[in-house]
Amino acid sequence: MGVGHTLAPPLPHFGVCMGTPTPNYGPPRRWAQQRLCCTARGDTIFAVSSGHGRCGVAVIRTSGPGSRGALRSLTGRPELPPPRVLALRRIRDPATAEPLDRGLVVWFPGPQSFTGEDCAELHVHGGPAVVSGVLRALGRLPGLRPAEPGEFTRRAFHRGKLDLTAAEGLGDLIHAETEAQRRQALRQMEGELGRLYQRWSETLTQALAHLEAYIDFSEDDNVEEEVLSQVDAAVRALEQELGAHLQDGRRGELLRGGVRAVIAGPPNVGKSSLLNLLCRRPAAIVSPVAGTTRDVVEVSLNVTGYPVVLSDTAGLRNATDPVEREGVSRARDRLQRADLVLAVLDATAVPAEPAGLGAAVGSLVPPAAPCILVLNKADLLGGDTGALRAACARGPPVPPATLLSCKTGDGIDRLLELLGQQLAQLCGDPLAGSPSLTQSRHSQHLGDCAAALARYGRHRARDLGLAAEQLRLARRHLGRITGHVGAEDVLDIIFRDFCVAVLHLLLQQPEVRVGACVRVAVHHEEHQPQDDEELDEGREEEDVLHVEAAVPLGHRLLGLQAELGHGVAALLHAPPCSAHPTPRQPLSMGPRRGGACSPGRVYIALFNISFCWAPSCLSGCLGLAGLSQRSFCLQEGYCSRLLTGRGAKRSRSPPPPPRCRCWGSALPRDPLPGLTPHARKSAPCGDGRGLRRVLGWGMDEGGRSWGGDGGGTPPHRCSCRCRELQHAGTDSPAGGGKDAAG
Amino acid sequence: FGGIGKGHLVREVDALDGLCGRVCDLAGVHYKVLNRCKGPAVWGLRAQVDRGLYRDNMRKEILNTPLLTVHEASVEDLLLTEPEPDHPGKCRVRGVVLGDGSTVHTGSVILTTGTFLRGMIHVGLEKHPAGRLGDQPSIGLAQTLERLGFAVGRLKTGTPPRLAKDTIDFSGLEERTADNPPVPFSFLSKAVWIKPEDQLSCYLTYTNPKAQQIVQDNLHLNNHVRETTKGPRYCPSLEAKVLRFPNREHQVWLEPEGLESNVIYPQGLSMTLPPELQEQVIKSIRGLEKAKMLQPGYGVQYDYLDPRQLTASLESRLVQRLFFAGQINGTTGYEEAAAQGVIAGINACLRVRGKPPFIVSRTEGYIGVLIDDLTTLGTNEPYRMFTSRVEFRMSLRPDNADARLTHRGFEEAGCVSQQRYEQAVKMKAALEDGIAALKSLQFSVSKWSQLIPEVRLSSKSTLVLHSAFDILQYPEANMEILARAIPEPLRKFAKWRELSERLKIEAAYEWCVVNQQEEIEEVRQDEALQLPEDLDYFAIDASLSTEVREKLSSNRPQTIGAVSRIPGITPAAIVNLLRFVKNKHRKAEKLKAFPQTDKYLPGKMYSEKAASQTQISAELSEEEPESTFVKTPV
Repeated sequence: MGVGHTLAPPLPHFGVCMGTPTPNYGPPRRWAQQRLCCTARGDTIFAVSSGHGRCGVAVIRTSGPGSRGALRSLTGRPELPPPRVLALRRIRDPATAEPLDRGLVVWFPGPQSFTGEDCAELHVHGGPAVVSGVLRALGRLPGLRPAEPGEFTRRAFHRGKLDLTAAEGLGDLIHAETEAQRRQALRQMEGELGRLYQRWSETLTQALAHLEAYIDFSEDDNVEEEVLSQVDAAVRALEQELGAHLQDGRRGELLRGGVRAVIAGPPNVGKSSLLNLLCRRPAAIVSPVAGTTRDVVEVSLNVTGYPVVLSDTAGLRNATDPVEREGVSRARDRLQRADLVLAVLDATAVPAEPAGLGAAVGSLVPPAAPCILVLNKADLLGGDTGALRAACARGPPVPPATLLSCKTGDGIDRLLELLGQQLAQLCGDPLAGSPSLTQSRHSQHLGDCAAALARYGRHRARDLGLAAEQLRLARRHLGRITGHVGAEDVLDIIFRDFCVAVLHLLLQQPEVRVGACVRVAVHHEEHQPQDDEELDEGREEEDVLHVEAAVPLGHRLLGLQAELGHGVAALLHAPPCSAHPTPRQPLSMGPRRGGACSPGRVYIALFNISFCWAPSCLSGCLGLAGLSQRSFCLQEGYCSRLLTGRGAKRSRSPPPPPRCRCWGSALPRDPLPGLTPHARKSAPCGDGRGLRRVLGWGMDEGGRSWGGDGGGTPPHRCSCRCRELQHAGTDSPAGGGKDAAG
Repeated sequence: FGGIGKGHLVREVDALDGLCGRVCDLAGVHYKVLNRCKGPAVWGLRAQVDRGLYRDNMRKEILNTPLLTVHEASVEDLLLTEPEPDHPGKCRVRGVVLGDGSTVHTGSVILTTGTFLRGMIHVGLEKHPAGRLGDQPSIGLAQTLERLGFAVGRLKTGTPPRLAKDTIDFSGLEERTADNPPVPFSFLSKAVWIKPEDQLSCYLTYTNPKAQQIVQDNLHLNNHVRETTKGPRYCPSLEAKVLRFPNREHQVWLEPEGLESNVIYPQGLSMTLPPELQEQVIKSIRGLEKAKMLQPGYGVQYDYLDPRQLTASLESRLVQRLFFAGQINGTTGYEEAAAQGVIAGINACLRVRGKPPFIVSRTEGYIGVLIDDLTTLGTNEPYRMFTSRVEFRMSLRPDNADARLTHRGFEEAGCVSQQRYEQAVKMKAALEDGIAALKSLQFSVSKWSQLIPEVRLSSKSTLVLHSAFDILQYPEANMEILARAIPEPLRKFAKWRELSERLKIEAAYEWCVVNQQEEIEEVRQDEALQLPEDLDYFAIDASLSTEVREKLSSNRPQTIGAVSRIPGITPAAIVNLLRFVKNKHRKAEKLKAFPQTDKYLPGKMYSEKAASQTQISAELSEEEPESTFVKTPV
């Protein structure tokens, strides 16, 4: 045994030690009770709790008083499933009753839920379309909003839930991780955007400061009225800029939801033929009779990689037939809401000069809507197309235009090219745009910010206090996007960026000493260790380590167990960041020693996370040590893949070089230059006797202690007692160290 | 008395049945609400007070307080004894030694030394020891405090020269008339003592380049300015203004000191030039060309104690049962002093009775912000209250101070009179009824437009129903208009003028208050995590850097919330400390009761029905506070 040892980095650390089950978890915290009794109201939050991106099953979780209603609305049934039992339900968008997916739903009435509030979970198929559909549907329900990063954990923490089911927090550890990546992604991909938000935030801060000065000092001192007009101007400018940005911000949404393109034009110019041509099937009825199309015909297309929802509409004319009149009114309605208009005209019936063409288009299309002019029936022109082509190429007032013959297919390439250009403009370059993951959060906060600024305008004349409050709110909303928050939000940052669960485990420990070597083991209440080896090992470890307490398993850990195998191990340690070497104090925790796990026994691992505390630097690495060795790359902000797979512990060979699969960059910021936390574990020691492990905390390779009786063992040593490392300790290794050295 | 931010403090002191608001209503000669056009949350109640009347009324109030014995003498030393084991501190105060050597034995002592601790008056290059012009400073006490190990700092402040009213030419000056009707400070006062039309006016004039020239040419004659002691940034001396903002005109307010008095207080003209130069400056100002200077302006430098040595109840950590309040803690002004005084007084009494301290949270009042800022962050310049220091300004308004504090004062501190309490209960119940009635009246926009054509409604949607409470938010709307349109049930609310004004304000702020509730909860949670008072930050086994330990040790934050406001404390340190506290807390949970500071949170206070009055009178305690207030020296 002992192949799976986790070895500590040669850094000061402390750890958690929990071996024996201790039934007493104390009464719920008093502040948690206070919180519970004074939170009748409150938002309901929702978020995807599983990983983002394509996956088999995605779990969407809601928490808050609105969960009950949300679950009812989405399942379309008045009765809820029995508490904490999975139920198969059809999930519908309550607004349209359109089925979104068939999935499993679970209802967790509070306080027996992860956060302590009413919670619901929807296990849906993991395709982005399904997930975003469900999220959109949830977002439209009153009182629901997307969760802030780490908010589930935070809520659970505040309700004193985490100490009962602390293990559950591991899920959020992973979650917090992706949030950090999100922020990293935000920083790296949207450096400019981040700077833009930062600038706005500064503008707001300054405006607020001026306004405050005016409120507090204008009566006594010389704070002139002009300060106010400056503030007004700054806020107005910002409001406009924000408005423009929000419009712009629909790009990501368009990319997700598809561009709504509408074919419009007078009757009998070949609109339906164009639709059929573009979707390459007879989707719409085509006849030579004017006014054939009455209703709106919709098809989904992929045009040069962009999703398009193309609608064919009734020809626009003053119809007498009531059915056709309804069709025309629907067409006009669609036109108003179109992201892109394909204006179709009869090439034989239009003037061949730019002004006339422009006027013809202008009469059809709402002003300012992006538009492509299609001059159909070009085959009827014969060879006489020169004038028209010249007019088409003129540019404004003529929109991008092309001659087309739906009959022969001539000109379709040019049309697709134009379409592609327009779509690229509308959707933006997905590589340059903002990541879809953050988009909804962004626009929500930006929208809130803009709303607050609008309210500023309303309150400005009557109540400066209220107006200033709106500026404060606006700044707060902006701050939530960029993560640049004031000192008062320090705890927010903690809950967002750091693993509260593991922290909380530590909080449980009465006697955690710096440098102490501790193990975290979680016992399922119903299971006892079964296998002798394990029992032995447990005893052995208890000899070595101060085994303090155990945490009973909450139901949610089972999911985690399935996900991660028998157990997980993690270690929190934070070496100083090379970019910001001095001021921030690292958070350090001890590693966990692996070892065989039986199904009845689950080991909690400590994640190997290192974060730099400098707010601008979030690079860090996360490694899962122990049974399953994993690392997460934060550097690029994308990849949360495992660096090394499970089972690495079984092999005596060093784990694969820790390279991230994202774009190949090595893990950032290693405290030992050239060695990642994983490489370090099996770093060759200096005595030339091959790969020996630099042991972390009083454990030799055979899993035996060498400092068990001493207690004050220095935290890092090599089992082979090589010289370089020995000097780090003051006393010589004792006990089992000899065995290993042999 | 009063002002922006300070008026809030006076209201809160009054809500706790402090005297200054009531006495001001009996002594003012010019009442004015500042910031009138900036919204009720930032209104600054202010009054020019007749010094003589204020003194007489205050003396009458104090001497007529039952069970209160008043001694007048200077305090030279403290009597100390062994500390109580279950509290931090190296000794306990049990009395004071007076100037004549006699002693007074007490349960607790509050020191409110103002500017007297080693006070030094500066005029030009001259300086002499004095706490106030004509009063001896307190030296012995300062030495005692220093000997006990209190960290002492030095601050300065100043006062302007006084002018003779009959020598000032007011004719060309801008007149500022008082409010009509005047708004009283106290919730108990229906009106102030003076007839509105009898109030005196203030006048505004400006300094000019000539005055600036005189100041600049004579800086070498000005010891007070040249020294590095920190002065107030917010109501600076003329010299400071000239140095910081040259080439500008600075306002000078000519304020009457009393109804019968011939003294004018030129606010904004605080200076420490030699008297003859002060006269030159005065004579250079428009309207004051012939003004006679009755008394020169002077600067005072004095000792203050680092307020971080105090707990939130204003008890010192070093000496048990010794409380500090006022300028000794590094604040400016009467209002800040009154706010600390009422808290120190309440707690001195509670301490003697062995009851938990009475602490006002940041989320409950300006008093809480003031004391939290002082005891957590300390100060290195005279601390003045502003509205912008307050996170929850929308909820902590002057109009609702009674709803925020009076109930707590009555139930927890026992400092509120029965009459005030009953009035607050009645008002709270009436507000709840009023809001409920207003919210129950719901009509469509078109119906509202018919009912009250004078209010222009902006909503476009005609389908949404609006309650009368929503309508009340419009600037043109008020209870009178609503009651005219819907006499039943609104008439009875509109008849009560004070109530209808408060309903209008509640309507205007409802949105903000509800929105702030979440933030308030967050702060409350952080504040609920209390740090043990006797924590030795250098000894605790938590991963904290020496720098952090030093900061924590010198600031002695009392809650995790306070820790997060200390500059330079890393999030990691907070986490580690949290861990420590939680362990400790778990052990101590059964032993220690939390002070309940969240019972009257603004925003939710009207959401729950008030306890019925009968119940309240049954709970009424007959006890009178018993504590010894020692004023040093008078």
